[in-house]
Order: sequence, then structure tokens, then C-alpha cells
Amino acid sequence: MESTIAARMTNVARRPEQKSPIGYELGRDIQQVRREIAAVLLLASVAVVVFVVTRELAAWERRLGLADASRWYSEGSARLADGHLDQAVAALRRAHTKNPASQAYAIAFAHALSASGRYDDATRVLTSLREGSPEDPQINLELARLAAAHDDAEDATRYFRSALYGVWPDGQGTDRRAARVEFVRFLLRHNERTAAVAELVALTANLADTVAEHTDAGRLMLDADEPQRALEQFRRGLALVPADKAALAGAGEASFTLGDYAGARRYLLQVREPSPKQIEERDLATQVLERDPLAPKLPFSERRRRLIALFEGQVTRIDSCRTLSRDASAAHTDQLDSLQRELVTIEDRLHRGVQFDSGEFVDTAFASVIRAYRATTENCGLSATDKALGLIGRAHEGRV
Amino acid sequence: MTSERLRPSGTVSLLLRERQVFLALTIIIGVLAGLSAVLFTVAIDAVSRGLFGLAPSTTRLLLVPPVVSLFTGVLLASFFPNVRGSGVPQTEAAFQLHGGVIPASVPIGKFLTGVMCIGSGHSIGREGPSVQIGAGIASVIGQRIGLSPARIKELVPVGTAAALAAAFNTPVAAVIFTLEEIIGDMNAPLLGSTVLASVASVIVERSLLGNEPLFHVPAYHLVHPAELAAYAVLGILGGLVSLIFCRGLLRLRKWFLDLPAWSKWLQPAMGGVIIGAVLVFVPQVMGVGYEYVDQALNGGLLWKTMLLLCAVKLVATVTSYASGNAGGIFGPTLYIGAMLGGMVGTAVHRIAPLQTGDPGAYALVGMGALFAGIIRAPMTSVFMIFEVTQDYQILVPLMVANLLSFAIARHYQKMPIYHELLRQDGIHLPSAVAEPEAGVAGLIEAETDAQPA
Repeated sequence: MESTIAARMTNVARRPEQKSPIGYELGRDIQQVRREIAAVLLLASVAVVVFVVTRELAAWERRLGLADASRWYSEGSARLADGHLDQAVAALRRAHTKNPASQAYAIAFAHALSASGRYDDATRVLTSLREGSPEDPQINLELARLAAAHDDAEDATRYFRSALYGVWPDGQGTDRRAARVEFVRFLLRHNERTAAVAELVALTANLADTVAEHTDAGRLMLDADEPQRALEQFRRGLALVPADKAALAGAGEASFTLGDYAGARRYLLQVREPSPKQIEERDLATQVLERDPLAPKLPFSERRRRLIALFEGQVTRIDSCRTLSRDASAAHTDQLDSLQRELVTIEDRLHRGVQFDSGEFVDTAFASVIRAYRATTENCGLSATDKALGLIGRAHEGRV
Repeated sequence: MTSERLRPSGTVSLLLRERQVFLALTIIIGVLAGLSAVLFTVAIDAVSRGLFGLAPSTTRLLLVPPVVSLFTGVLLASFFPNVRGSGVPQTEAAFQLHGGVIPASVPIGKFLTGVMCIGSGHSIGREGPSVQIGAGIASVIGQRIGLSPARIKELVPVGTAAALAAAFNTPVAAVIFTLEEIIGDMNAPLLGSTVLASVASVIVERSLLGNEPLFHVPAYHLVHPAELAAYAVLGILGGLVSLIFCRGLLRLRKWFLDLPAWSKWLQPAMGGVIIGAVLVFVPQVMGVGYEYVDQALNGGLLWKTMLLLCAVKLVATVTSYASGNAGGIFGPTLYIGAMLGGMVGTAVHRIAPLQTGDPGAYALVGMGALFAGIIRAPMTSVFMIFEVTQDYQILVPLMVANLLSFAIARHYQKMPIYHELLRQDGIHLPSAVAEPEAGVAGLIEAETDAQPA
């Protein structure tokens, strides 16, 4: 039409005297343009109506799609719980495909893939999710779990840290603490003790004041070989609930590790229905307390009695050790004989009360007992009664 | 109105107004074509859900395609004979031979039959029908408001670009495809209006369906320069698979066309019987199947699965299309390419894991290679993959694979598939002449010759 108008304009310019017919045609063109404007307006109105209708239909279709995704998710989760991994993967994949925006579906899908041994695929799903929100703590935590499950320590550490630095949706910090606990456990599994302690220090600074949280933190501190910090957490827990079994057991264990056998026995005696380990520690602590000849503030007679008992015990132990190791070398037999002679000599002096008031003699006598203990342990193994002696020796290491 | 009133300023104003009206019309057609593409997608999903449910039984998989095709066969044979197949060749023919005039029955018929054929599980794509619907809407509007024949013809590429942009969510590739395939001239003066319509259409599509990309593509990087050799192998394989697809489709379609005329209404159902049997064993090839393309792109399929899907999708698409169902080959091409690429990627990744990238990257390049080989629109394929990935680094391997696939397909099959399909229907496009020998020199020569005087 544009070309038609242009041609007519040219004609008008060339033949100005013949105005009427060409003018009529131009008038028709103008009417045509007006008709087109009206048509455009009408079409625009139609487009608006169609847009509204299509939007409603698309929204309806989207709702149906989301409902389908939800059903596939339920199905997949059930199959995952049943252990039907292939079916779970297929169902959760559909859920994820139908609603890729859902973080829960993507994570469940990744779980299913990971459970069926498809670590790379699971990582890909989560990494793809992470691209959209790289600081999302939940996604980073899932990636960390995935990497941790496959012993990828470097990636796991990176993702755990990203998760911890992310902004968690709950204002109380519960989820962040849980993630940090998980991270600490991972670090301890990988013998990263220093890093674990650093995280634990950060954890204990932000604990909720509940016995459970203090006890858990204390337990982790114990695992990280930090008995003093652990004891502190257990005591905080006990300050809140004095009879809490886990806190009492933890405090007993921490005290025992620290060599505070009195404290250990006190805590462990209060534990109801103790575990075999707690019973053993409690009994050992009792033995240490009852047999330690170097314990402070002991009466003279009691110190003497304990030393004599230890000497008698070690002489008997050397006898039984010699019997057990008849085929041992001459050097070994000579060592045991020499130790036994030394013990008998000192024991004899002990019975006679010679120089017993001298602290130096007591230390020397105890050192002989410990030497005998080490020799018999080295050659004949550790006996049940020797455990307590070992602990007593360790407690007075500087003196012997 | 008299000529006295037509002073120069008045005539210029009239011309300007006419251009503005056409511009506005272009935008509105873009919007309407985009809406039609969205409606088409929504309707296919709704029909598919209605027919198959959440987890289709074997009986449904077996019966739905032939039963629905029986109904669509009647519609296609009796009421809408011009809407069989893709719609791209028909649109091309309308533009090249019929001055852009498309009857109103075409977009209506294409919508109805396309929704039923694709929704009933036939292995065909929705992009081709969207193109025909969009172009049809544009042409019908032009005719109804009394535009000049030249303007009606100009509206066809506008509707095409808009519909494709909305169907595939790739506005630039839609414009390139329109110029490359429909107009056949990359320097066409219609560039402005097609871009405008494409943009309007994509805005509409994204406002309705969201910004979610069609495929979730992993980050791509060329691990080692030697990896280009693997992409070259993929290009060669892509060319060979393209040839198998094109020849298989043309031969089977010829066989169907040679059947007695009375059987026309029954032919789609014949294809439906085969598709139903295929779906029972390999339901992954049902419909458009972009869900599985996404899985291939993200390394979610084993190579054996991809091999199976590549082969079965090829057979299923050839069957669905050749038997006269309404649906395109655009989507299936991408599907087959993704499976082929994923397969090659898995193989080379096993051989040289440190020198090669993820199989997903190969699946992506495979899509482009098959598109270049089958559709013979290499520029479109490059831009389309580039738009999907938004990753510049994919371009070099993509061009390597595309060029090889295109060259092989062109060497052994002189005429592009859309032109061959038209020729089978007795329609000869002006540009549909046998192309010169392949090879880089041949390609350059051919491209030069293809430019209109």
C-alpha cells in the first residue's frame, strides 16, 4: 500500500490540473489507513483478551504440572524409603523436571541419585541448583554431605564453610549450629582435629542454653581430645539439669581423661544404668583412688600399706610373667630377675620401716614398681589390675 | 477529500502513518503469534495429561496413538488437507509461491490436529506447527484488513519468527531461521519487522510461562584443543544420521503417498499403530520429549539408553511424520542429536577423561549438528544453541560439528528435507534446485549463488 500511495503522490505532483480522480483515490487510501488503524486497535483489544485467557490457561496448566510434580515427589520419596532406588530416581526426576524451581525436589532427587551410587549425577543436580543461589546454605550443606559421603574432603570442607557462612532462614541459628556440628563430626572423622576444635569453639560461643546442646558440644570436645573444654560444657549442662544422665556420664568421662579420678567417680556414681564403659571407668577411678600411694594427705600407715600392696602385686606379677614366657630370651629373664630382686629388697625395707619417712625413698620405691609394671606389661601384656597402676603411674609421671 | 488538501507535508504524514500502522500491526501479530504458540504448548500438555494420565498403562500407550490418529486422519483428509506434517514447508511455499496467502482454515486446522497428534504421543515436534499457525494468523489478519498483497506476504515471516521465538524461547534463532529458511535471504529488508515481532512474542511467552529455560544446560568449557577432533567425529556422525533420517523419512512418506487415495484418512492411524507399539517398550520417545533431552544434556542417561533412544526416536519420528500426522521434525531433530552427542561424549570421556568435557556438552553440540544436517539451517543451529547455552565457548566446537554434518548431509542429499517434502507433494520452490557438490569451496559457492540478484 505504501508503494501505491507513493505512486499516486508522484502523479499528483506531475499533473496538478487533474486533481479530482487522483484525489479521490488518495482519499480512498486515507480511508484505508484509517481502517487499518481501526483494525489495529481492534486487534490490540483482541490480543489483550487472548492474553488474559491464555494467562489463565497457562496458570491452570502450571498448577496441574505442580500437582503432578508433587505426586511424583511423594511417590519417589516412598520408593526411596522402601529402597527401590531405580523407581525412586525415576519418580523424583520427574518431580524435579516438572518443578525445577523446587529446592526440596532437587535435593530429594540428588539424594536418590546418591543412594543409587550416581554421585556425579547427584552433584550435578545440586551444583546446577547452586548456580542459581550460590550462597544458599541448604544447598551448600547438601553438597557438603554428598562430598563427605564420598570422602571428597576438599569439596566437603568448602561446601560446609559456604553453608556456615550463608544466611539461614531460621532466626535462632539452630540449623546453622546443626550444620556446624555435622562439619565438626566430618573433620574429626578425617583427623582434622585443629580445625574441628576451632569450629567447636565457634559452636560453644553460640549454643542455646539447653542441656542437650551443652552435652552434645561436650561430647564433640571429648572426641576432639579437649577434655577440659568438654568438662566445662558438661558442667554447664549439669547446672541446668543436675541429674542429666548424658551430662553426668560426659563429665565423668572428661574428668577421668583429665586424671581427676575423684571427680570421675563422683559423676559416674550418679549415672543411672551406666554403660559397661562407664562402669569400667568408675571402677578404675575407684581403684586409682584406693591404691595410689602418692596421693596427697595420706596417713603414714596408709601410704605404707598401699606401697607394700603394690610391691606384693608386682612380685607376683613377675612370677607369673616368668612362667608365661619360658621361651623368652636370657636378657629378658635377667631383666625380670633383677627387677624382682630390687622389689624384694625394697619391700623388705618397707616391712622394716627403714627410711619410710623420707619422700625420696617413697618416690624411688614407687619408681621401682612402675619399672616392674612396664617390664611385665611389655613382655606379658596388660592385666586387668595393671590398668589402675598404669593410670597411677601416668598421674605421677613427673615424679617417677 | 480533495487533492488540494494533499500538500507535501500531508502526504509524508500519510506515508509515516501507514508505516506506523504496519509497525503496530507487526507488534500485535508478534503478540498474537506468541500467544498462539503458548496456547498450542498448553493444549498439547493438557491433551497429553488427559489421554495418558500421570503413569500411563500399557493399554493406553498401545491404543491412544492409533485411536486419536483415526479421528485426526478424518480431519486431515476431509477438512484440513494442507496441515499434514510440519508446516514449515507449507509456510515456505505460501511465502514463495502464493504471495503469503494462507487460508483461515490452516491455522485452525493445524492447531486442532497438531494438539491431538502430538498430545496423543506421536513422536513429532511442536515448533513446525507453531510456525504454520503463527504465519497463518499473520496472513489471515493481513487479508481480513485488506492489506496489499505485498504487505500480506511480508507478514508471513513476521508470524513465523514470532511463533518460533515463543515455541522455542530463542528470539534471535527464530529471526535467523525465518531469514534462512522461509525467506531464503539473510539480507532481507524484513529483518526489522521480524525482530520486532520475535521480541514481542518472547516477551509474551516469558510473561506467561516464566523465564525458565527450555533446557537446563551445564556450564561448558573446552578442556583440551584436541577435543575438537572428537567434535569433528560427532559432526561426521551427525551428518550420517541426518542422511539416514532424511532418506528414511522421504522413502516411507513416498510409500504412504503411493497408497490409494481413499486410504489417506487411515494413514495417520497406521502410523499410530506402530507408534503405540513403540511406546509400550520405549515410552521415552513419546511426543516432544524435551524432558529426556534435558537428561542427556545433564549426563543423566547411560550410553546404552541414549543409543536406544536415538535409534527408536528416529524410527518413531519418521513413522509419525511420514504417515501424515500433523507435527514437525524440528524437536525430534534436537532429541536425536542430543542422544547421539551424549553417546559420543560418553565414549570419548571414557577414552580420555582428562582431555574431554562432560557428555552433556557433546549432547548440546549434537543437537546443533543434527539440526544443521537435517534442517540445513546451519546459522540457525549455531544461534539457537548459543541462545540456549548463552556460552560463547560452545561456538567453536559447534561450528566444527555443524559444518561437517551440513557438508556430509548436503553432499549425499542435494536438496534440503523441507524442499524434498514439498517436491513429493508436487510443489517446486523457485530456489529448490539441486545444490552443487559439497566441500568447503562448494559450500561457499552455493551460498554465493543462493543470494538473489
